[in-house]
Amino acid sequence: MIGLLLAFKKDKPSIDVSAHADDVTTLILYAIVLLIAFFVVRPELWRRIFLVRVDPRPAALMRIAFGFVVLWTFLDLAFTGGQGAAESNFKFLFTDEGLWLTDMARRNYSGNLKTLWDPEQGFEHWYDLFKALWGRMSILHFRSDPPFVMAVFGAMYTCLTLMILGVRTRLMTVLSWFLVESAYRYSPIYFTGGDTVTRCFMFLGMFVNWGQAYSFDAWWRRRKAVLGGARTVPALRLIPAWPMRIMYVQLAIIYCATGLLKSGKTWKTGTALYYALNLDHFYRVPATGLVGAGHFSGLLPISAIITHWWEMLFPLVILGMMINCYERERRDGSWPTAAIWRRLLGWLVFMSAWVIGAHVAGVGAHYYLLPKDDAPFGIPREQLIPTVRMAVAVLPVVLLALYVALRRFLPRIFDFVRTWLLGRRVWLVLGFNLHVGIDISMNVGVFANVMMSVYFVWLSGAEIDLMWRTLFSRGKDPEPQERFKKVPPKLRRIVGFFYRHGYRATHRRPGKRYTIVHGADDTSLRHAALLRCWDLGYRLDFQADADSNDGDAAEGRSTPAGPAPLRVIVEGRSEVLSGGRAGQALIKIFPGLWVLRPFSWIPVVGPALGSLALYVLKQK
Amino acid sequence: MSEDDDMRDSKEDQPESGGSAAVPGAGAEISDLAQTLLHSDIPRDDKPGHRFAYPLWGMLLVTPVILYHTSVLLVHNLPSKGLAKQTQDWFAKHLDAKRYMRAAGSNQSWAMFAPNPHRSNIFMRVEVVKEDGGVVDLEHDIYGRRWYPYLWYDRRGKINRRIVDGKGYRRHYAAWVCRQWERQHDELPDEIRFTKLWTRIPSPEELMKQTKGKPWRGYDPMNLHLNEREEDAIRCNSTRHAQLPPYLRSRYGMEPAEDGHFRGLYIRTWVDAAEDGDDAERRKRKGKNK
Repeated sequence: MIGLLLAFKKDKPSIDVSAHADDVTTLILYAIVLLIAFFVVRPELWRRIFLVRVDPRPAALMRIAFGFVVLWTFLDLAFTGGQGAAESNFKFLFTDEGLWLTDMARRNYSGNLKTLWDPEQGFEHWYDLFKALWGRMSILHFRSDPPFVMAVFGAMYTCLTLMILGVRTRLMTVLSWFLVESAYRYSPIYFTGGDTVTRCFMFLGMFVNWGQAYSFDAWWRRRKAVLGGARTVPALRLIPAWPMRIMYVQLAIIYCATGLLKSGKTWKTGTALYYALNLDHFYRVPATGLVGAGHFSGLLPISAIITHWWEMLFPLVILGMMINCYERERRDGSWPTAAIWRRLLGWLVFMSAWVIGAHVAGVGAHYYLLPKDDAPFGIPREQLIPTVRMAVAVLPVVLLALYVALRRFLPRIFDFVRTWLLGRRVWLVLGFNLHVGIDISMNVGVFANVMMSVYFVWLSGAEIDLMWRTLFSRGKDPEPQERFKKVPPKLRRIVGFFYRHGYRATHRRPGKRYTIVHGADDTSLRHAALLRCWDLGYRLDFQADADSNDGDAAEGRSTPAGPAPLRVIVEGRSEVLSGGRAGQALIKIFPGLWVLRPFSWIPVVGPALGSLALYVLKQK
Repeated sequence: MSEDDDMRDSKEDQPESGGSAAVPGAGAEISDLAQTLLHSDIPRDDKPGHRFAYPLWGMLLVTPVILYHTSVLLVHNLPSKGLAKQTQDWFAKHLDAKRYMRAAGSNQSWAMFAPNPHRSNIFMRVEVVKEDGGVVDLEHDIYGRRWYPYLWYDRRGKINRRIVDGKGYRRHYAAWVCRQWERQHDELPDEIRFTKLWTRIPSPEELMKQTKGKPWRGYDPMNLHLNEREEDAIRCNSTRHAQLPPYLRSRYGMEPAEDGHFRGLYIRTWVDAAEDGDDAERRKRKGKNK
């Protein structure tokens, strides 16, 4: 499919393709049918790709980050713009006191709602509502006076907040989608690329079971199990992978399409970023001198060309993920196997689809490759179709031979290709830096933010674990360096500064341990165990307090008065923290409570928040 | 980022190693329950041995959904003209793909800074021409007006840019301006005038020449030549919705306007279609009776 996109890259309306249009359409449909047939022959591969269960944490982190971006988008939309609240974008864009009176918005943007619904008579049939929903309708197309719109926005903010917190996550995600869409569908005049990304992923979000981690839903479920008699802290529920796989495809399409459409001269010559950064509508501060210097130093042209190619080739990261998955599971013997005849038949079907794609690519080249040139690359135009067809058709055979040869004879190069050239570490890290660069230098709305929030879904559970551990680790100090004696004394301090911080960044040790001193009875023990659900950085140790509930502990009986008061000992500190101060200490190490952290250092407020934290953690 | 974790499924995940090593208590022995609840690894898999998310019937149910969305998504993103057009038409006709993408809020187009970023700064000056011929610039364009650093995204700036290219939006924008003016001044202006303004960004070579080989000196955007061209003028009293409707006048506490002041919109709904049908039926019957 990507090959087809490439073939169509220079699609121009003036080119008459009618001679081949029918054939190409039929062939593309055949290719799609053959790809489906491939998975009919090899259903185990379909199951492996789409229907496995995966760690819920990457999707959960995406839910939180993505939810914040959407919430921010609509808070920004509601409270900025115009002079004063009366003229805010909220009124201007969404109410009948703004750009569109309700009936004009309904006529222009509601799809078939405008005929299915009559302002006086309503719908003709009850099922007409569903017909209207299968279109573009918004509830704001029925009425859009400010109090009503305010209520819709209030409901939207509430649902988005609950979605972020993970309270009734599935329901809240569906409601959030409906309300966000209702706002977006009223009129599209203000849309940016970021809004389109938001809409696409908000829809896919309804299918992801992303409330199974980092959510109140998961906390309540585990809490109930632990307090209800479970003998271990329950695992997080694994979730179906398919919505996340579709998210991969969606993101790859966004980058690939935007890269292919950047077919202008400025992206080839590398002047595109020079112009983009000089556009009055986008730059954060006028910095024409800096941009000029960036251009003539070569930084901007190189960045523009890298960006362009990175976008066009982004789908390779999906190929890389599949190859890495195949190699890993081939090694440990868990890759799904099939009888030889099914494998051969599968190859045959896949190659048939590929050959069709090759033919279509040839036709595409015939029409779109250098139209003014009679012999592009020295090939007569009438020979283009068979030549390109042959070249594309043999490509997988050549690549497969290269793949097998590298794996067998040059394993280190093979590993480099699969884990670096095709690895997420290159593509996603580059993309992340690119978006950070865009966001710092230009204001293009939430595009960069929403794209980065989606990146979380590409991580694995183990990587999320590593992220938390790294976040909670401390830098190691280097040994006193003799080597700096050769550095001139004036420079010694500055060199030492960079060396020390570089060393601390690359040499880490675990963060301070927090020991929970809990009552030895059954109830206290179960309540203490609940803290493990919040301990994402694995900072907790547990120690039974021998003095509490003597006797009960030995027999494992719970006490009717509830858990014994929890105490906390922080590594390196001699005092034992209790009450609000214990909660205050836990706020620091539980990311789920970080919302309280900015205020937890304030005297009096801090211990009060600590008490609140203990209440939330069910320690009171 | 370890590439060995690509597309990892439940089978590979290791138990959550809590790092919660047992700390010898002051004389307290660790009970079995404490061992399993506090010191053992938390399992990673809630259903060990179940690699897949659904039983067979669930897989059969979900598979068409995945196939449908993925194929529609890919075809939707093919160019809408040329060789791929008929494929898109086929999907629209037989699989209702266009309506599905619209209903899902997933219709998309990704032409950002494509095929080239703009090489000019474009603005639309919006002016009110009053009954007495006086002209008021409403300062809706951002030319020379933006505050820096530019932190909060300015949707009005986006809309101002959009009405440069999107001619269809101008009438609606002008109608809103007329209504706003009427609300604030209790009278309709004569017309709304749109003037396109643009400055051309100097090419890198021109910049080099202008700065005499010192491009880091840059240029002042406000010193670029400002081009102007009148694009449109839309009259307030004859444009639909360019006057305050009675319900808005009443909401704002204004006196009702004279009859015919507001030029509204009539949308044909199923009621009209039904009435047309009734009329046709009546005419048919009449014809038969004759």
